[in-house]
Parts: sequence; C-alpha cells; structure tokens
Amino acid sequence: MQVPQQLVESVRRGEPEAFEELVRQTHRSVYSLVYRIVGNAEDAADVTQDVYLRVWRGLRGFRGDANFSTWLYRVAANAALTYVKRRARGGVATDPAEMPDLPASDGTEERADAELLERALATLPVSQRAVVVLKDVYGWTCEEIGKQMGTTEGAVKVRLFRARQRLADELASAGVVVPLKKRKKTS
Amino acid sequence: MRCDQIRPYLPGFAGGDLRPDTAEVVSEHLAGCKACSSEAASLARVRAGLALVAKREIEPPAGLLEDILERTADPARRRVLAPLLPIPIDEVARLVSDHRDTIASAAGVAVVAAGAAYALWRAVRGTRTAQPVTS
Repeated sequence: MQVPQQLVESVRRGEPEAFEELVRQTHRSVYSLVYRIVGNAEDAADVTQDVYLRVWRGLRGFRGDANFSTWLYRVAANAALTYVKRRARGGVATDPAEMPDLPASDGTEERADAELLERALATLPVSQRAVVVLKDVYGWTCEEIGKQMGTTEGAVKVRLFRARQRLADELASAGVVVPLKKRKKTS
Repeated sequence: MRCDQIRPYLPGFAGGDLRPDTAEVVSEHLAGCKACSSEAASLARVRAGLALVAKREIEPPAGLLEDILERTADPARRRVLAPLLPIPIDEVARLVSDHRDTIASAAGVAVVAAGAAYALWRAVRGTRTAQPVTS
C-alpha cells in the first residue's frame, strides 16, 4: 500500500474529498490487516471503521517524517489488538470456520501456499496469530510487536515460533511439506 | 548437538530471529542432518508463503467503504449531540471503550469509599445518639 504524499498533505489540510480518496485507496489493505488479526469479517469491519475515525482525528498530529502507510498500519494494528484484548476479556470467540472471499490462486506454488496459509492463520489462537501476522506478513520487528502488545520481546518470540510450527503442521497436513516431528512438550 | 536439542530453534532459524551464535550452531547441525534440514525447509516455506500473504487483499464486506465515509463525513455534526463535550462523542466512546478496566476500577473504588463514608457517618451518628444524658 503506497499513499501519495500529496494526498496525505491534502488530507492534513482538511480537504474532505482528499480524505474520501484516501479511504478509497487504503481501506482494503487496512481491512485485510485487521481481519488477519481479529479473525472474522463483522468485527474486522467495525474495527476498520474505528481505524478511520482515529486516522481522521490523528492526521493533524501525523508528522510527515514517518511513512504514512507505516503510520496507518500502526493505527490499524493498534485498534485490532485493542479489540482482541477486550474480546478476550469478554469471552467472545472467533469463528475459524468463517473465511473471507480470497482472490483465486494464480497457480504458482508460492501463491498456493499463501492461500493455504491465509486459511491456516484463522485457526491459530489469537495471540499467536497477531504475532505471526505482524512479524511474518507485515514485517514488524519482535521489539515493535512487544511494545504494541504490552509484552516482552521474548514472549513475542515464543508465540511466533509456536505459530510458525503450527502453520508448518497445517502445510504438512495438506501434503505440501514434510511433517515436523512432534515435540514432547507442545503449546 | 542432538536433533531434539536443535529442533526447538528451527522456527526461529527460519525467520532469522536467532542470535548469531545460536544460528551458527543450528546451521552447522543442518549441514550434516538431513531430517532437520528437511524440517527447516518446511518452516522456510511457511515464511516465504507468509511474505506473499501481505500482497493479497481480503475483500471487505459490501458497504464498508460507504460506512467509513459516512462516519467520517462530518465529525462536527456529531458534536451537536453533545454540545457540552469538548471532544467529539466518538472520541468519548473510544476513550471509554479503551479504558474500560480503569474506569471500572475507579468506579469500584468510589463505591467502596462511599460505603465506608456512610458506615462512618452511621457510627458517628450512633455514638452521638447513644451518649448518656448527664445533668
């Protein structure tokens, strides 16, 4: 997701048409990130709306020295993580069976893996899913994730490694890769 | 090192998340171990696949764009609903939502304090009424 700097400046000046254009250009990417963390379409839509309210109010405070897309993803991840924390306290479950409409694979091996992994992500516990999505899908560092989630870098790595292991198990059960040996102690 | 000692490090090795000295030990083991190399390859494939996931966009539900635009169209309009608030009503809702635990704790403390004050008042009042009248 790349947002033209000129568009960002227009939004910061308070031009309503510019904000509309910004939403048009970015809402799919933001929704995708939020969906990958919260795990269901209805909640992801609500959180995405909340993200843009935060963006609308926070844009004047956005300093031009940071990349706008990075900032937007940070706002989105923060909103999604806040939501899942609250949901965990409220005991509302995700529905791993529910899957969004995904673009069809173009047939290459890597893209087929990506499609399979997208579905496998939905089956992970939310704490592992959030970490692996932010680290391996969106390229955050473990330190950044720890700060955002209010936990240590070590705790992030533990969740990350377990998530990768489980995802490899999912690929193995689909016959894509060789199965990993079962450990005595598993998560 | 033995395979069972190396395996726990393979998910971290696949993502380049190990300390350099640990990564070197794993790498040396993998050079001579077919079984662990095969597991490392599986995990590397997971990493490669996840990197491609970001390029895929999930189709949002119909009407999401319109809902966002409607909610952000005129924040000033929402102030009319709460003209005395210095910040928009959505901001109040978000703050309440984000700090629910803190607010609940503060409310709990307030209730306990009010209860204690009432009990104290009753005790003081009771003491006064129970005082014997001396002439």
